[in-house]
Amino acid sequence: MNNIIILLLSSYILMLISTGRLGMFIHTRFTWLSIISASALFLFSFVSVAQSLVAMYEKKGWKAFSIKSFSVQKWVKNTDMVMLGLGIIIFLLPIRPLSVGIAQQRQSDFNNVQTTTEDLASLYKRTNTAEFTLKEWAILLNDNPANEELVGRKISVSGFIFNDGSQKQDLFYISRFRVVCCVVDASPLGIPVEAQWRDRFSENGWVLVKGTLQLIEIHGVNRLAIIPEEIQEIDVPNNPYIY
Amino acid sequence: MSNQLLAKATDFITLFLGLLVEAIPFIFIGVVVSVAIALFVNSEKVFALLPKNTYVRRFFLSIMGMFMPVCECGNVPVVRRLVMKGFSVSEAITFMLAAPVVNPVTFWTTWEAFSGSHEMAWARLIAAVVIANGVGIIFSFVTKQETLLTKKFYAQVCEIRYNDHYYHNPQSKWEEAKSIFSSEFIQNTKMLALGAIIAAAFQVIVPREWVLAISGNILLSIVAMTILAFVISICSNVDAFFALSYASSFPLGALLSFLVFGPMIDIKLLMMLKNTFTIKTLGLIVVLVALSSTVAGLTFHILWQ
Repeated sequence: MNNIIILLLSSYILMLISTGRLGMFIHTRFTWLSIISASALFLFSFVSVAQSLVAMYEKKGWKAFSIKSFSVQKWVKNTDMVMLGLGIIIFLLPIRPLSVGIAQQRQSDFNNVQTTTEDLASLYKRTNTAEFTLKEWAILLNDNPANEELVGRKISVSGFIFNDGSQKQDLFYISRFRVVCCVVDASPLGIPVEAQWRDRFSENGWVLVKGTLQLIEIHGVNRLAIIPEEIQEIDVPNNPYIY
Repeated sequence: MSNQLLAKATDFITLFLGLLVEAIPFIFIGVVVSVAIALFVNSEKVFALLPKNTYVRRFFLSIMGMFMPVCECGNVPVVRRLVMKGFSVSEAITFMLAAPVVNPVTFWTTWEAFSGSHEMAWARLIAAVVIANGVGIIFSFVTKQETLLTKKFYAQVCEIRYNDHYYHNPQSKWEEAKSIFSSEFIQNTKMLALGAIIAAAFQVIVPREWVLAISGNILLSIVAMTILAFVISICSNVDAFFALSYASSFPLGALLSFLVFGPMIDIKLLMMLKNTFTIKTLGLIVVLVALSSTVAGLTFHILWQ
């Protein structure tokens, strides 16, 4: 029974890896560790289960696999049944990134990203801002939310729509979660976008925003925000987080 | 409303699976080490090599994590195996508390994360060694060490120690390894799953700002970061990068408490240890570690802030 559960759990991790969806749950730095451990667990449990089945067959022939030979009571009593159930259920559970609800819950961590002065200086030196990631923009806007040098710069970022609960009807944040280890430590990063979005898109929907940075008034303060030229709905990517 | 509930349910599933998928490789490493100890380590020879003085021996155990660079989940099977091999429960507790912090990966990530304040990496290491030894010494005063263990685990320990001494196991090494590996792996994963369910539910239900809102002064900041460490159950090998993101809003002393308490105690770890130690033992460990990591945080705050 134990080996069947291990077989199921390791198969699940291997399935996530082979479909490129491991990044939905953990930081990509753990990919190789996951590949090695899940492969070893799969091989171990596969060989063990096969050996057990052969041993059962050698002892009792095909009768060993008849329903009568399994004591239902013994199986049900075993707490491992719960684990077996879990091993099967995880394959049926939806694989989705964290929702905007978690971003709201962790709003106190919004754009809480630290960087070194060297990294910040090298970011300012780079000129092709269209290639900047959402994290890099968040770092720059954190450093100076009203930096006039950035006005007019081209920007192209994708993420989910997050409304920070402000009364401003034509404002949303294009956001992603930053993950250090796995989804439990995810904290939201985002850049304000000024656009009429409520009729066309829904909160938590994934979009690609292309535009330029301009200074606008947000909560009574001048801040840089994206004035979009194009907002395009996109599918949720396999790696929805920033690492 | 129903959409919100659905979103909360999918977030719960994502958080639960995240914890499970992230921890399984570390449990795998821990169980492999546990199997290796079970099969290839001769207890009598090891005890002969270890220092005779109990305090020196305990200190030695508290730095053994240097050879085992995995996080807290991976250490649980090793802790269980140490007790089975004849180490006292208090010595196993010392190893358990120190190993997730006193290991090269944790030290290196703390050093990198707090590159502007290398005192943090050293303070974390020293605090973990001191706390692990201190808590271990307190538990060593319990005369009947077996009362610290659950009855089921103690029965298992007795059986294994008896077999080691008087009975030659007729199974081949492979058969024995297979049997130890699968039962240890499932025992730990079962409790990890339970811990992950509780931790994920807590994260979905309780907004993080409630926890962080109590950070009024240094003591309250330490309490807030300790609760956060308990709730998020983050892996000790990378928690320094997470703690760093709070450097602008929390004093370094509170971050040290987070970095010391988190690897020693969190929701999923407590669930995993429930199979080994009694509830009373775990309760006392939590109280002692919480108090001493608070003192460590306060001391660091006074000396370096």
